[in-house]
Amino acid sequence: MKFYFKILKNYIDGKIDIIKLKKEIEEKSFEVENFNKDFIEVDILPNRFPDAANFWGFSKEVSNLLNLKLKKLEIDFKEKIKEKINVNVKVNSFYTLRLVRNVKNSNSRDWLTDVLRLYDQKSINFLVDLSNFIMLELGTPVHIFDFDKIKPPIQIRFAKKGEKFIGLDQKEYILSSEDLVIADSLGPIALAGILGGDRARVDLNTKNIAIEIASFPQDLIYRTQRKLKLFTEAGFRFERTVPQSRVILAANRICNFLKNFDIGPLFVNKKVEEPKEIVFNFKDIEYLGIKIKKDDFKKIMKKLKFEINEFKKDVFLIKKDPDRQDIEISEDILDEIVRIYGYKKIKSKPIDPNFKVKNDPIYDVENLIRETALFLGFDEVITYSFIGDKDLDLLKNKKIFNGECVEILNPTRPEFKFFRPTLFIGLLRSSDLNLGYFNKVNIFEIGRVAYIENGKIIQKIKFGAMQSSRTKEDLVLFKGKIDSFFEKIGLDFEIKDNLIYLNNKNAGFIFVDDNLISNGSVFYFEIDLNDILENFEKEKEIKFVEIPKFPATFRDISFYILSNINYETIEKLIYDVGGKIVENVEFLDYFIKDGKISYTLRIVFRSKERTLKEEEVDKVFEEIKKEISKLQVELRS
Amino acid sequence: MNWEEDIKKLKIEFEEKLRKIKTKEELDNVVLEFLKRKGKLAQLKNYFNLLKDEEKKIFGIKFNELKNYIEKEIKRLNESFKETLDSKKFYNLILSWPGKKQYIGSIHILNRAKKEIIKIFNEIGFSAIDSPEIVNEYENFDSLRIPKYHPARDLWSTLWTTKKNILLRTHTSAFQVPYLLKNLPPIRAIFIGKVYRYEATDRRHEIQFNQIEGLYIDKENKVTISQLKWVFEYFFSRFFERKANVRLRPSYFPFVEPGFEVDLKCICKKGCNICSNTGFIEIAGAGKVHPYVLKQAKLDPRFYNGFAFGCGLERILMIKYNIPDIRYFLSGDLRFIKSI
Repeated sequence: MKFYFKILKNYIDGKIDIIKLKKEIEEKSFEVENFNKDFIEVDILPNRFPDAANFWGFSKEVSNLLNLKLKKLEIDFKEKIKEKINVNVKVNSFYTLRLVRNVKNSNSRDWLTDVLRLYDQKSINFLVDLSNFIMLELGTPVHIFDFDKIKPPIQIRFAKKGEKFIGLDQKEYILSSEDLVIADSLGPIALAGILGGDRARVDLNTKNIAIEIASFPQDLIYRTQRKLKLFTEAGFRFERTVPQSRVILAANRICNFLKNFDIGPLFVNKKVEEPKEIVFNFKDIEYLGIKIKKDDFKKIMKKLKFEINEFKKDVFLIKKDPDRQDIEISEDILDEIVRIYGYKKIKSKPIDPNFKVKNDPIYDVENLIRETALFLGFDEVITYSFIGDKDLDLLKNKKIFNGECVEILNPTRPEFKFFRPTLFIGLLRSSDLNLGYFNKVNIFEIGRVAYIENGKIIQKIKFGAMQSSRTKEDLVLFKGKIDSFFEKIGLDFEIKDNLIYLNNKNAGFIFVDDNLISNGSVFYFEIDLNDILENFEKEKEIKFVEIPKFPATFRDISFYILSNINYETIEKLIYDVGGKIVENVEFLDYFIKDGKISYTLRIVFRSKERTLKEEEVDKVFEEIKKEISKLQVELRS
Repeated sequence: MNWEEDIKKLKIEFEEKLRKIKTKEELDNVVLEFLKRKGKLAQLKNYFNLLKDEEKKIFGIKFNELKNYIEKEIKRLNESFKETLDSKKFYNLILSWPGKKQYIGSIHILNRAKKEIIKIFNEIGFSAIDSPEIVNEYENFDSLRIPKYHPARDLWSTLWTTKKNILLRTHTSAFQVPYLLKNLPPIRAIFIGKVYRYEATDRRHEIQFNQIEGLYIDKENKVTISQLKWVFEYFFSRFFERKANVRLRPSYFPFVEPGFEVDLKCICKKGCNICSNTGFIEIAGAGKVHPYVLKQAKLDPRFYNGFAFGCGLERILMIKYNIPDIRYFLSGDLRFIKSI
């Protein structure tokens, strides 16, 4: 809110040093958004809005900070008539209403229109302008009804479902039973705390008025404003609450401007709530890390107009300034002390660094996996956690994800409609983008995914790695990376039907596709970090294996694969035919020619008892070759 | 008979051949051609007998000049071939050239920073704890004293899910109460992770970004703002690799009291873009954990106390590396990721 120095002068005695004021405000009260020789604009957060977002309250703050005296607010007037309007207040509100007869409405005088102009408000007529001025001055919304247009009795009640209301803006609103209205015998005359009604509008012919100043429940105003998408200055203030103490002050203050008319007595539906006393332990100042003398503490309290009473040594009872709705507990008192005393006087003090540290074990898994992926040549990306309808269709068509997604109620864009159930989409988008700049793209992401299972939201951390490439053959390289990945992190895995199993539990999947990116292939695998962690926790027994005493002999065998023969078949055959002397079978190399893939395997022969003879190995190797050649393969060597 | 001319010609011929030599073998051929017994030099020597005595002397001088020259050049070249065959020199040559690289991927800057930050906080006793991103309304708001139908909630614009009361956490503080319910103080913890806001994106705003949350709760010992200030100084000094000056300023967060903003003194002398010419950069929010929050975690505020703080990860990275636009982080663009 903007505060003009020429207005503040009306409330503060003495010269305002505006440079010092800016510094003090920033250090001790609010963020300064704008500042020049005419005004200071500050950001008043919701807690201080009720007391400080008005001329009077801000002046109080300024007088505290600059040690200046506050002028007395003119609130004198005389009640001339006895007539009191009775109001039936059916809901929890603090409500005042006062009748003033024989008023003469007119255009406003310059001082008033000038103030309103500074706040971008148009002058309407004296009475309306005055109510707007009081709101700026004291923070209390004021509504004035033309009393001759009202048919008492007056009630404060919830609207009936479907009840219609025409506001000062000439628009019709259809209300619900959660909206609070001021009504007479004909229906609503105001949407409480938000907007006056058209029917009891004050104009230049108005003779008799009812002045309403109140404090309505903030949650009701908050809901109604949002439901009707009707946001007014009054509503804004009621959402942040209006102190009862200010209601009474405003009810008197406004009469000071109406002294020439016949002012009636004030209707108030209940007593002003006395602020509760706060117990404050002086020793709690230790929390601030500063040392303050008791006298200084008392001075600060006095400045703030908080009454204190030391009822026991070092224990105070504090009665706050009733305007300060935000002060409720001893911590709030600490807040006041530290800001007025000055945050800048707090010196830093080390904490004892000796404290047992144990990071979440998932971070160890994350770090190991990340290092591994980086060394395998994958770049790390981080993508949005969201996907759209089209993405979900794609996941379903490609059978990557078939379950129920967590849906966003208010997505900022259609592509962000669901929380991602897999990292696939983000990686695909990133691959597509990067293929414009790079020939081959190998990327991975570690992040949370979510989906719904049996009505419950499941959140998991996944690792997803994608290779996009112009050549299909690169799948052999990608598969090699998957193999190396698990070898490096030290877990055995199995692949069945493109699903990855760790210890017989499905922990991830592999996906290959030719049509997702223009003239290239996409290879992808995804795995669950928690499953990896679980398998780490089942720590494997590590046993010493004796180093072989006798030398090994190698034979390499190369063949084209002609039909869908899986590796296990070949591997089993080699062990079966070769018998005891086959120690190991290893992948050595591959190549692709005319759409056929050829693999070269190395067979390691070794005996535990003796050195094998070449002829002996040759004989077994020939036997193996013979058996393999019976399969759908074409031997090359 | 012009022997002078022939000497010149032979020199030119030799030099031309020399230039073309690429291998030791070719060099050997040239040696044979010029220096062997019936080679070109020997042929030239035949002139000698045909010359007059006075010319013989001059011829002798010129011939020897050429012969010495040829021998010297061949020796020089021979040496250089020897050099390439010497493996030590061969290695040195290769080392002076670029090698064929094994491609190693680049870590994303956010995760490199996350690792670094965890390390820094570990040094002063804080453990890093993983926390969920989809939470309920109570965890994100009510447990933190941000009631329904209250404008304080408007400080956090929220992405809701279609499931009742379930939302994407707007701040890492949503994990304060759930964590405290499961872990008895004294505790020192940080939660680093993604948070989400319903927001229009621009250079400084994203709907998805990361926060670092710190929580320090002690039993009976009073945790002070002085200590909190020290934690900030320690962290920012380590993170920014320079001495960090920290300023505290009053502010409001419903779940701490007193609550304040933490500003970092900018490195600029006279004001710059980063600090909007104020000399200070808003960098974190912090405060003493509100007794209400402790009670939500079933901790008695008479015995337990502590502080909490929160800080935007992208924000401090943008400051540290001068990154002009927050949207780079999630762009998925490897040109960005590899560059930083």
